[in-house]
Amino acid sequence: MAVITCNLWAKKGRIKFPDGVEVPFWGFATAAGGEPQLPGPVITAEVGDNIEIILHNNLAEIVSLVFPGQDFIPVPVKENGVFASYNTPASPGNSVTYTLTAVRPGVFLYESGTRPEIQVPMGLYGALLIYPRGYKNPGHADYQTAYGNNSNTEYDIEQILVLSEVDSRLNRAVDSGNTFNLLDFEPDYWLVNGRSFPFTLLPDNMNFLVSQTAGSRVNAAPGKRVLLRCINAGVQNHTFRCDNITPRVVAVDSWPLMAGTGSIDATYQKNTITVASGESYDLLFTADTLGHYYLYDRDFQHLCNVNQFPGGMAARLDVIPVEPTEVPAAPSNFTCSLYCHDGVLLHWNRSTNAEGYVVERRTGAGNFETLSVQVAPELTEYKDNTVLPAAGYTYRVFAYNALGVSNYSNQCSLSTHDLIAGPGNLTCNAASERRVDLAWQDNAYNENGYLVERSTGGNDNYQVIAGVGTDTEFFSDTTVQSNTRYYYRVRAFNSTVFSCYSNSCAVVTPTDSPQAPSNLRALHSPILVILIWDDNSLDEVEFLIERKTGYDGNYIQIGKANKNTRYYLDFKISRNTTYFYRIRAYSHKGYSDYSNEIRVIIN
Amino acid sequence: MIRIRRSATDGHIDTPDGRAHYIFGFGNITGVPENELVNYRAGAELMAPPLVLQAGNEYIVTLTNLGTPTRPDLDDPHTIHYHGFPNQIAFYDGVPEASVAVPVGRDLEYYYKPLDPGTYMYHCHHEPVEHIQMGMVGPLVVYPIDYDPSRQAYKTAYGYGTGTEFNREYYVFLNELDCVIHNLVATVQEPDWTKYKPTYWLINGRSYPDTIVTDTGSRLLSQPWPALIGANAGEKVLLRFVNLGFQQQAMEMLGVTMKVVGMDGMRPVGQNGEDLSFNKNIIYIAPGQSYDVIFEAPTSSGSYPITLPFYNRNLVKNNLNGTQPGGMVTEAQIYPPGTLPPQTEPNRFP
Amino acid sequence: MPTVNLWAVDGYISTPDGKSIYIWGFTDQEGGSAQLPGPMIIVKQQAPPDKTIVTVNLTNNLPEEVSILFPGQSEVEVNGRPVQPQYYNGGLVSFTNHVLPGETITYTFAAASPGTFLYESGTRPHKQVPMGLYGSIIVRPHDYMPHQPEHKTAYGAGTGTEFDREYLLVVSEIDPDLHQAVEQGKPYNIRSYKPRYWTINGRCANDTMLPHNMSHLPNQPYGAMVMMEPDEKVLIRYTGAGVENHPLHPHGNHTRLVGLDGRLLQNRTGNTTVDLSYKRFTVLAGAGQTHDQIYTWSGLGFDPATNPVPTVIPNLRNMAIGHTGMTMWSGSPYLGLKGELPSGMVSFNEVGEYHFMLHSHAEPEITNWGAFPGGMMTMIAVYPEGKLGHHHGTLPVESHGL
Repeated sequence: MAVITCNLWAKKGRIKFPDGVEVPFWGFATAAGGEPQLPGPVITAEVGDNIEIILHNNLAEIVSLVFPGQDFIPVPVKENGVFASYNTPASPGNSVTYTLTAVRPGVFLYESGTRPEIQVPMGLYGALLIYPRGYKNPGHADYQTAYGNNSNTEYDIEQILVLSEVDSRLNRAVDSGNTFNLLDFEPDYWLVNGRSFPFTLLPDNMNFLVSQTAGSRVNAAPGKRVLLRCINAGVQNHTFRCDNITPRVVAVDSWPLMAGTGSIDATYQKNTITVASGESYDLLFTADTLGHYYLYDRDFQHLCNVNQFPGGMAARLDVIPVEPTEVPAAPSNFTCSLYCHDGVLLHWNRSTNAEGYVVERRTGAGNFETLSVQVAPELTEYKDNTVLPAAGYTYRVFAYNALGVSNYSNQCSLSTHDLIAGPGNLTCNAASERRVDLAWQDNAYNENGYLVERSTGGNDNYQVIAGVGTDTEFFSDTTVQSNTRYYYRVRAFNSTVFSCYSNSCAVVTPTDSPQAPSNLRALHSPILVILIWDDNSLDEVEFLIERKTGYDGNYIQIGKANKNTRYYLDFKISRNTTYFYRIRAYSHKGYSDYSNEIRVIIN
Repeated sequence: MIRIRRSATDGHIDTPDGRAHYIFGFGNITGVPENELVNYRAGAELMAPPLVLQAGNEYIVTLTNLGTPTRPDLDDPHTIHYHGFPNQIAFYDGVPEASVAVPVGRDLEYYYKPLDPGTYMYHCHHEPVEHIQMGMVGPLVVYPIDYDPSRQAYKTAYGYGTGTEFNREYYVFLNELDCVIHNLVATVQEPDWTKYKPTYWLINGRSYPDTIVTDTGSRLLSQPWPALIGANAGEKVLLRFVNLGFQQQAMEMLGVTMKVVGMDGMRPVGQNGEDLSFNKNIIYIAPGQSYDVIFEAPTSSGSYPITLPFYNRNLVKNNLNGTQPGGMVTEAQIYPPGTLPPQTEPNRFP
Repeated sequence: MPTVNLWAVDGYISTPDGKSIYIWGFTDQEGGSAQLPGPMIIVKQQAPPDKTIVTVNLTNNLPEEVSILFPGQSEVEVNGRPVQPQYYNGGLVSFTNHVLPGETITYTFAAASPGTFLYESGTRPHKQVPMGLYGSIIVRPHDYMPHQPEHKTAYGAGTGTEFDREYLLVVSEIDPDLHQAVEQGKPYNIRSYKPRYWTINGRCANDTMLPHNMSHLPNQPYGAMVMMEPDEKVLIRYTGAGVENHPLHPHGNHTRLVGLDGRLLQNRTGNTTVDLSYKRFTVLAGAGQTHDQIYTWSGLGFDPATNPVPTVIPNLRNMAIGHTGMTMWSGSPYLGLKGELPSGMVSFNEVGEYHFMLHSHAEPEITNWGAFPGGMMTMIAVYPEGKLGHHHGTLPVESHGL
């Protein structure tokens, strides 16, 4: 039986999230001068070991540890009749030693027992793993089991997943010594092993996540038995889902569901499990088909970084043919170029053994910052749309796999000159047979104007038809013909450069309503009136002839003339009558206006 | 036939910050003469006086609606719903839309012959959103038919031979209180129930540190049950968890192993008689659920008494309207073997 | 092998307080409007060793990509290859293969286990699932025969999951601000998710208690009323499609949980069977999870002639009955009998059946925007023996063509 000694320093630190935000936290470090960790360092022991934990307090208030689920008796401290600490505390600058005996295997938490409603959300928690005695000895009955032989818990690959949340306002308030009203607690970040997605997919020990050393991506080859040890250190409940996997629950709160020879097998299968605050679930399954399997919180609000999806509480199992044996090679052939003057297009070659990449960017002479976490090995391109005009940028990329990171690629620098944002959301509407109205969204601030291009021959063969000035978001094209399909696109320009084109839009102008006939005149005799007119319409179906009898009569239609005809014979007349005539054209588009009106007097 | 009587009325409860909150609730008026009932108006208790029954007995529980003196305008009827009673008939189920409810000044008799031991609960089912939050909630315990506290093998939660023997038992009755809503109800205003946001978390009707107060003086008169647990080392302690709030809770006691021997008044037993009782570190309990948990009081290698913190692991809820300390927090005190005398009634310590 | 054609479309649903809420959802009618929940898919397993391959053709008529996840199913594939998360510009955009607006994608999966399952969008699920892109799948065991009691089971003959009637209850929440933001193309802050309505089968009470296919609820075709006779075994299938957990409590009896997430609660090794089923009176229907349970009710044996109720029935004129002048009570404490109700009371009771509420015990959830009654609530109606039509609680052997 060994004595496991573990020194922990409780101190302040900072954690980083994928949206670039840094939040203060309190965590445990493994060295007096070391950075605190979130979660705290994993403490490992075997059944029967004595565990001695020496807690050194570098905070400005008292702190302590409790060990839920362990065989230990806490020694609470009270002040004025109420709990000041659930276990013997260390005052600032001092230490306290806890000893416990590891009685049973499992995954457990160690966490602060002092003002835990504040100190645990601040980050003072970590995992404690206890293994059966023979778990490392091939040939031993308990070899590579979580709970000993006959517990149905043999595994090849083990991954701890510590779930928790952060309310950045609580952390900032408490870290500055201010009060925080717990009724306002509302997390904005959700974590697996101390990181938010996609940082959860990066390997352990990332140099820009010095206080968040543990990744939570699991690699397994087909046929390997994977044991996921989920434990909820948070104060919210989380619903853990394994996409496309149905694991077997083999232990809950580190109580195996098949507890050795002679006991019944109470293990069961479930693909979505609500893990309450403080609970743990051990899930076992055999990796099967190659691919990516996301492990995430089905309470979708927790899958965000603040309110941006995806983020938060998501990790991944990668079933790959062969687990990597070395870190990847640096990506080669890294190039950067302006595309369409909207942003920068980065590209590199896929590197051997890579499982993903991280792109970094430096503005001018500043520090390199993480720009993108590419979460799969084939994602060897990135479009950076957050660049500003007239700035200089330098990029580099490195690859990562479960074992670590590669060296950096070559760097690539460029400057964005007079970058100009292209217009968006172009719409075109035929207002009439002779007018098309265009509208778009002006996204640029440094344009001199917009150029409108039109094509009739399909979505190419564009020609510039007009230019409009700064901040303009509309244009009416009055040079169109009726019954014709047109395509349009728009782009911004200034004295040096063009923007990208907008989307194109297509429109068909309607056919004309017919033009009215004109110059209506008549020849007449006592038995016949001949009407003659000029035909101005192109596509009429017919002409409609109307006549009014007498000054006080009403016009009625008396006949029709075929299309393209320019005369009509009216035989149905009487002597001593005055007639008035008018005509109009008719097409499928409707009626034309009337022609002029004429008077014919029959004597 | 055993007769029990409960009143439905209103009252006020105290929280440790010196505030009083308006509640509705039940009172125990068993045996009170008719002409003295008026003295029990405004006598609601939170948690409601437990209904303590035994399997095989017959009970008539009379509900008498004494009205709500602080809200004389309110003429709400009330009911008793014995939550979970197997095979109940609608007439005794207490749901107004499917049976009858008791108007102010009236009585109704409910008949129960429980056959199933375990931890249940009872509450009003008229406008349950309001009446449950306002406090018309309490535990209901059914002892097994062979229960005999003088013989260890028969002092059980579920009967002889079921592995549920205990030495002492305590209620862990959980709910929350939104003081804004209680104030709206007291002042004749309509709350928006979708804005429910609790400000107090209670065990047995009290917030920490009132949960561990046994000498209450003039406070806590409507909350007669502390949540303090006491036992001698080596004894088996039965905790009867009931959740009649609106939130799920996760309760943890340091230093012990909790064994779940009952869920919702049923032993976890498979269809072939498999014993499916299990150990847990956290009791995760949703509204409307109950758990029977037995733990063995630990022995100290050092001094006594041992104090074991017992609290809600949804830690941020452990507050008193935003300040600390407060909430669903209490403790278990463990003494040397033979120190504490046997429990004379459930939930009593010392 | 069953093939289901689904369209992802939009539509509107109604709440009892008069709101019309814009949703995204699935329909199996070409040109149809979205329904909430999506169409129930029921398939029956082939006899082993044959696999049951289910084909789902999804056509997208929404303005953004959509997809379908099939939790608990096996060999989920598109074009013969296992589905994979989708990435864009280096980052995750969908948990599974998705389809562009206007296009169609074909998923296949092997229904390897009987039980109740969820199907839901895997693309921007934080928005699309609460908007309504979810539904339920029932897989029947290969030996299922609805007219043979020992083969009318949830998980196969001899598994202890025989039933007489079955009901599917899909629960979820609605935050009207989310639906309005999507309808108007405005931004929405997922952290401010605040439900105001709670649904069973897409309806809020009391609409939950109406039959299927009500003409005033054209896009909410499934009722949630549970109807049975004494001593019957009723299989109640919960599907948690929301993002919150709901504690569902049926009055009248416990239920026995026999399956979780479409897996039987039994372990078989060789000749030994370990049964892990257990009873509860309140089941926490968790987000993304399913529960199969058996409910029975036998009553207490009261009979007006031979074993009358032993309490004094008060003068009903002195009691409060029902709610706002309406009740579901028959006026009599006895099953199958009606009593005289005070004049002015309207009773919906048919033949003296009993009603037991089945509802979320997180009581703000049984309101419609805070007004009781409403929300996640329905009734279990126990009819006198012989008085309930056989079609109640009957779902087809399979839902879509072979």
